[in-house]
Amino acid sequence: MATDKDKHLECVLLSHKMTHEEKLLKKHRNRRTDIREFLQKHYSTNIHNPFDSGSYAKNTAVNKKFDFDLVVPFKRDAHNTLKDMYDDIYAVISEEFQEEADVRPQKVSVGLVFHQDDEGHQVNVDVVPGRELNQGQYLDDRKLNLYVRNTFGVFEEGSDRLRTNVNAQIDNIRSRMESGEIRKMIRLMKVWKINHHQPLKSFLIELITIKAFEKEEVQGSVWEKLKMVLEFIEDQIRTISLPDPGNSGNDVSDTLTSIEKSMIVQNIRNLLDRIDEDNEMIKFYFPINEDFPCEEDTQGKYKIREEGVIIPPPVRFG
Amino acid sequence: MSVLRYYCKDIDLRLQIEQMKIDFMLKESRKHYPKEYGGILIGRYSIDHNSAIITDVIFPTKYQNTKTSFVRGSESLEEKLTIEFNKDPSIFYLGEWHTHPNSGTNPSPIDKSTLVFLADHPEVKIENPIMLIIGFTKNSYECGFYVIQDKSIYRYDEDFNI
Repeated sequence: MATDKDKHLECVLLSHKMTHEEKLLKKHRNRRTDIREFLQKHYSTNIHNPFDSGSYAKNTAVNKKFDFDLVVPFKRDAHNTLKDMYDDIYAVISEEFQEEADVRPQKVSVGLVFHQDDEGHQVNVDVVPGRELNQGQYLDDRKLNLYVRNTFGVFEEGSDRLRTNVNAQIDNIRSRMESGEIRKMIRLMKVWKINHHQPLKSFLIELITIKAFEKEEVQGSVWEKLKMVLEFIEDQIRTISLPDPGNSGNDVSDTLTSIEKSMIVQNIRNLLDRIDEDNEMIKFYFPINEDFPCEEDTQGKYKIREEGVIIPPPVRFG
Repeated sequence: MSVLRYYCKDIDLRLQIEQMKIDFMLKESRKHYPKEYGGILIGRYSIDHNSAIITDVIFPTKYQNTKTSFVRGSESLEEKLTIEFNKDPSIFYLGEWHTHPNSGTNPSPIDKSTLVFLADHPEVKIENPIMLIIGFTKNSYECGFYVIQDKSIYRYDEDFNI
């Protein structure tokens, strides 16, 4: 039987729902709270209130691979340089959590991968240190400078160019996804990214998908909308500018090198051509999370096979 | 306007109907006493499809009835349903109703097999047709609402929690 692409994609979305992983989510929340409380105690008045960011905060997460992000806003005079800030928090976190987690330096964050527990759960929390622009200014403008530890797209190692307002990023993404349709597309794009190891940052996926909806008449079924988003990315990724809502001076498309952009264009073309040739290929590019197979939810719902006027046949009762 | 609400706990489905519609069916049915009578239920589903809202009933133009049977014809139903659909496209066929004069609301074996027949019928595009049985005597009446899912028939209870 031919694959119904829309039905399959709806199932992909269902199988990747975060609510399937409530237990794991709770463990993430608890770990994040532990880290937050530890950092607040350790840095005391040298930081402003740490806060959550990342996909979960923006409701665009998928359950196959997710982590929690914790942004730690340092006061301007807490360290001499951004590098000092980064090195310090990395050392502090390593010392405190090395027994229970692998602590590793990442592009702009410190990653904590907690050891697998008895239930096979592994908690990932990224701590993103940022420094306010001037002493006390964060409370007014929420702007932070991030330390770029290693080459990040076109951002050079040791660069302090990554100035941003993470609060504004979260608010922006949330407010522009009210329809739910954009969120669906973002989550499907993430499923592709995770399963096919695309170098796209989640934040870039969010911004470019929102842009696709702004620029194009994205209409029709789930597949038709997804196809239009993919075609938009294919056409635009090489040249598009994606200003960071937290700092219009940052272009989020700069997180990809031109080689990575070309690779993504080629991969999207392959994906579209293969699915065009054979509907079944949609299962390869957008697989269902087999841990949570999509069972049609019949409970609590009247079902209609088809809309329209229903003419019931003659019947007999006794 | 008094609205009666029913809940089928087994499969978490709800339905509602105005008391005046029940009164209307009963009034017409009494004219046929002691024979059975019936017709179809029309209405809509709530947005989340958890609740069936019965908005009206249609009496058949052609039927055969005895004290223990009721056969509803389908003549003129298309016309009547199309009129309702054109007035409000959210309205469609929800199921059937018939009476059990001098009897209770338990479905007979024929009632049960008819509900299965309707749910499986290719022209009936809803998968969970509802069946209302009104058991009545000269001085009293009782309503029994049933629904079918996956070939099993379930009864709704009156929902007093809302």
